[in-house]
Amino acid sequence: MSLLNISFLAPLAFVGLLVLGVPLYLHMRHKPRAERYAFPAIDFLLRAEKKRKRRFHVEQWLLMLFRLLIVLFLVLIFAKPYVDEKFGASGLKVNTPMVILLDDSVSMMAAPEGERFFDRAVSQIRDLLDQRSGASPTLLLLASNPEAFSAQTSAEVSALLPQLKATTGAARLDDGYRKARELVKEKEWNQAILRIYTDGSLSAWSQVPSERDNALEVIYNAVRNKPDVANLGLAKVDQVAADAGSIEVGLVNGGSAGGQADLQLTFSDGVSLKHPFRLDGFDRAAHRFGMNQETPATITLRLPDDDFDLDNEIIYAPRGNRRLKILILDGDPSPEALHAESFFFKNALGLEESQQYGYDLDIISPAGLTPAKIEWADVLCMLNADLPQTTLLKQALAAGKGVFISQGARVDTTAWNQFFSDYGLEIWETKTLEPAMPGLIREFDHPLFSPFEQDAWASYLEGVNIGRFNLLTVGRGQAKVPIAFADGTPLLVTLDLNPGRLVVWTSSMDLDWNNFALGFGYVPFVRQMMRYLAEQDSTVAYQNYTVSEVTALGIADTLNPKHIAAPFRGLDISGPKPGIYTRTVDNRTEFVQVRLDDEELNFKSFEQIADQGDDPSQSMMEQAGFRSYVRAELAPQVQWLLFGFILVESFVAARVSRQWGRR
Amino acid sequence: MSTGQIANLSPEVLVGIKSLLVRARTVVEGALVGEHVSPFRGGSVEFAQHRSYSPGDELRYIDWRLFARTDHYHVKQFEVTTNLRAYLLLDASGSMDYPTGHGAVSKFQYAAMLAAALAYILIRQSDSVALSTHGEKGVKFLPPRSQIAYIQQICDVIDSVQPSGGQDIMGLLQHAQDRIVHRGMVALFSDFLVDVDALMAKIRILKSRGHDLIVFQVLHADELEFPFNRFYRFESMEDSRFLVADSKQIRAQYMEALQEHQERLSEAMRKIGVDYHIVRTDDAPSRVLANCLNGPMRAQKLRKMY
Repeated sequence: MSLLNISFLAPLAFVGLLVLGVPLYLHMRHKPRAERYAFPAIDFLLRAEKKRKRRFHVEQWLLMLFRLLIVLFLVLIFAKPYVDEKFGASGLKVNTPMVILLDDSVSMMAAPEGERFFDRAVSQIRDLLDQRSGASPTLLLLASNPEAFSAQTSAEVSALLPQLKATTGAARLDDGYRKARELVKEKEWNQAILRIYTDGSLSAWSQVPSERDNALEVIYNAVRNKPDVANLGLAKVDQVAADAGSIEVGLVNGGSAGGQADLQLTFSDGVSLKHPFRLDGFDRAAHRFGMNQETPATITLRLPDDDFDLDNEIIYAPRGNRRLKILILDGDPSPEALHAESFFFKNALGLEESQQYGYDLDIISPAGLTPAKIEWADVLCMLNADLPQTTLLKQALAAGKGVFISQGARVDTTAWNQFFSDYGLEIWETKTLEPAMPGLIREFDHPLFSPFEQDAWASYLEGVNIGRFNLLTVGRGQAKVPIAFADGTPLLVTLDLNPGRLVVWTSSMDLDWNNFALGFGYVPFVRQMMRYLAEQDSTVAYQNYTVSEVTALGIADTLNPKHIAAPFRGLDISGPKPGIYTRTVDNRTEFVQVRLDDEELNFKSFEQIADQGDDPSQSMMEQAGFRSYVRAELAPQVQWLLFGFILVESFVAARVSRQWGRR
Repeated sequence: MSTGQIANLSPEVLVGIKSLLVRARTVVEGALVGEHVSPFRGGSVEFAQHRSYSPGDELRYIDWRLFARTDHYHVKQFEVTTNLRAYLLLDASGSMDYPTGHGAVSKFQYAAMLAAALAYILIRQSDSVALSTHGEKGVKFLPPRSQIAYIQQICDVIDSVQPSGGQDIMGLLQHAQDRIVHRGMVALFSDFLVDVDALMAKIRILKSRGHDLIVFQVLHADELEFPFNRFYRFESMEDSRFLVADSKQIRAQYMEALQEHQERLSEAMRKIGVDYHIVRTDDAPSRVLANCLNGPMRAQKLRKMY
């Protein structure tokens, strides 16, 4: 709310104007309490009264006026007035070179007061430019692409404003700030103003600058009028890593107030259910939902409308709503013995309770492999098997089954090489490492690792040391080596054969050649491996990308919108929008689920951190010499002025009251 | 108690004396001390009676023969009609009742004291004294008499009067104008908080008839100084008028109005040669009476008379 050039941070305080009725009531109804006194010379008093009456009325009106003003000024103070910065020193420098850095990340699409932050920022920029002369040097930088700046004058920037759109990316202001400093230096401006327009969320910066730049007067415009933004959002929906039959819904509360809401799950067959939940301010939670085999292809998850509408709906297609059938072929003469590979494998998949985790296990010897078994299985695991049944394995791959092969002492390299030769792979020899060496993840963007964060996978492999392995060479470009030794020697090789998938682990899956089976990353690794191998073209392969990641990976151009969630339909925002997309890779259709960056859903601001007193973040902006727009420099002065008025008025009112006797 | 002490008795002390007669005598005793002589006198040719000498009596009336016989001073009194008729007009309007609190001397009490004292002096020297004051049914009038016992009757009437309501000095003046035929002395006791022009019109008529006028304007210190400092609802003592005001704020204007009134009154009195005395209720009544009896105006009258 703004009045002339004064705006108010807490306009609700104007409700307090109702109190104005009190002095009015006092004035209308109040009669001074006077003691009765019989006095003989009443004639003289009445004669004197005529002269005095006018003064009495004037003073009564003054008294009422002062009382009204006291209430009014108190209300004004509580309304937290601030003066538009154009009255400040910076606003007067109308021809000073100016760089405008506009945050166009997705969080700018929040609209807590009906107007999107982005639109408000653009409107403020327009107001600002209106005050400057058209030829004054002005640059506009967008946080999403600070390198691209074309406008050079205020007039040019003004012309550009209508074309600006918010992106769905998670752009940070760091690069824009750096670029602004470079530009000022490059253009040899001795004194320039940098105006940053942002929603003021923590996610706006990766690292708030801590050094002052003397050539740059930075004015930080947090376009948020009220400190809080209510946002109950869906952060992430994905399959539970260790449980193929469940999905995990990540919920985030991006506002400070605790929220209670219903998460509505609607299945593509029309069935709908509500899941009530409660989430404290700035908190996150994960809720799991078990899926059965009959779960329809897509689930629409929906939260009630709030200040930020882009994360209120996600359409998700559960990947693992079907129990995986895994056929384990153990080369050990006594499979399921405690030392056997199949035991560790089975252990990772839930032992006797494997069905609850979404796996049907069948453990046989390699010799027991039959076409019927292949037909039954989704994934075949050849664990330290001496001879491959080459024909059957090839049939399985051709049928779209996944095949996992681990090495060991029993492996007959010659026989296996006949099988591998079709896929450009070749086993050379068994190598012994003294000391044992760790394996490292080389391709974090491999689909194998998609459900977990990079850090999680890195920690899963910590402490895993490989003592022996079979040296395997990879001949074809189709093969990927997501895990390798430090020198690049493959430890894990994957081939997407379209339709089937082949994965070779060049060491053992038990404790004979390495200690992986005792590591805590073994279970998620095996389960994720099985899920990866089971995925076929017919299986929807949704991948969770954030919008910004899609852009970074350069695949945005190949995306075809398969589905755009309701909030985004007809929404004119640039860049990939959250939703499910398809893309074609190697004659194969891949489904990509694009989502918003988690951090952009959280609207915690620097002010809120400072309010909580758990962080000296309030001074972070000051360290960098930033001045706040919202807390404009005149605000404290105005408040002191009002306070001074109140004191003076109270004094005068008290005096006038006293003159009229004790009330 | 010496006569000097009597002369200085405060009104509060005098009011404490229950009998108005005694009060009057005390006032007179305080007033006529030593060398003072009574300015009022009547002439007479026929002896009527003796009475004991009291200070202030003229020496020529002392019966020396009787002194030789009795070794006591007696003065001779004569029974022929007095040649001085004194009319006392005592205002008992509501405003004279101020202040109303216990222990305080009201203007009426004070005026009554003065009137009784004057009556005492006059009757004691065989002058006729008439009293005119406000009664329950209009004006109460006691015709002029000179018997010594008449003073008690005058005091009783004054005692019986209770100041109240909507009667004022104008009524008394009108009554005097109608009833007083013979030339004489007219003494007015009032606060004169009335319209000066109307008042002076009446007084002028009395004056034009050859009366010797003595005017006592009795005022309380509160009226003269207005020492209030609070918020009051000032109510009239004679009618329903009132004023709600802050005393401090209104004081200046009040004092201005009072002063204007007093100046007009005093100027008008001076112009027609009225013996005018402004009396405060905290003044010693004896002193007031003495000042009146021995004031320049009275001395002038004496000179004229003899």
